[in-house]
Amino acid sequence: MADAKGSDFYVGLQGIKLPKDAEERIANAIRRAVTRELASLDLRPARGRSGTGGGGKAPTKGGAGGTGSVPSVINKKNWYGFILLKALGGFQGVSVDAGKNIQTQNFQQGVR
Amino acid sequence: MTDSDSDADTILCPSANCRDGALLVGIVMPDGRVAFTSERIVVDEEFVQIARRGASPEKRFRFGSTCVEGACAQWTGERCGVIDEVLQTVNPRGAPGELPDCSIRPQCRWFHQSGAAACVACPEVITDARMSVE
Repeated sequence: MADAKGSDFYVGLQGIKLPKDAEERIANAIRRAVTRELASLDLRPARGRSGTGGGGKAPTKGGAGGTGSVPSVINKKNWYGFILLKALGGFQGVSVDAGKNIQTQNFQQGVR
Repeated sequence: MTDSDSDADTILCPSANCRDGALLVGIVMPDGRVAFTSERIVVDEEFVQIARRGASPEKRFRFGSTCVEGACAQWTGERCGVIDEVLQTVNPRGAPGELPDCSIRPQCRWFHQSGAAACVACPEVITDARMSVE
């Protein structure tokens, strides 16, 4: 089991009914781990990181908002949709198909 | 999030700063657009601290928080100037009627102001669009 991928291990837990308190402890631990991962997440395109991708103005001092459009590049699948959102969403809204393709309905890409 | 943020009557800014209590509205994806969460995720202090260690969290995420109207530099007197400018300058890559899921739409300042047009343009908005070398 120790050699198994974390995602496989997680998928293997589907359908196992745990005591409520254990479920809650696990959920809280996952939530903390996910929060840490999420906070350090940077999925932006590489050129956005280098500062050449943004086309918008700088936000005005004191203002909450600024605007900018970023050129479109390849739209990759968001792997994090699985682990982040399943945990944060309290294990809701996630399904796994026969090919273990994990679906989540929590984060959804904007209008296509 | 303050108590008033949870009040259904509170109008929320969909492009707020990262702070304890703010709502995580979405994540900037590899294509530069924002993917939204349909569930309310409240940012805590730990998230803020970790997020501040890296690139500006307002470049990587979108946050929601109470619209402070006149206390915000973007307030034009009667409305938020940000979404007005966005709708003038951004050419949304989507068709009206295909609105992304969003956890704050019923309370969103931009939606209240501009309706579905705001939602179509919203994924194009990066809160902190300042150029920087990271």
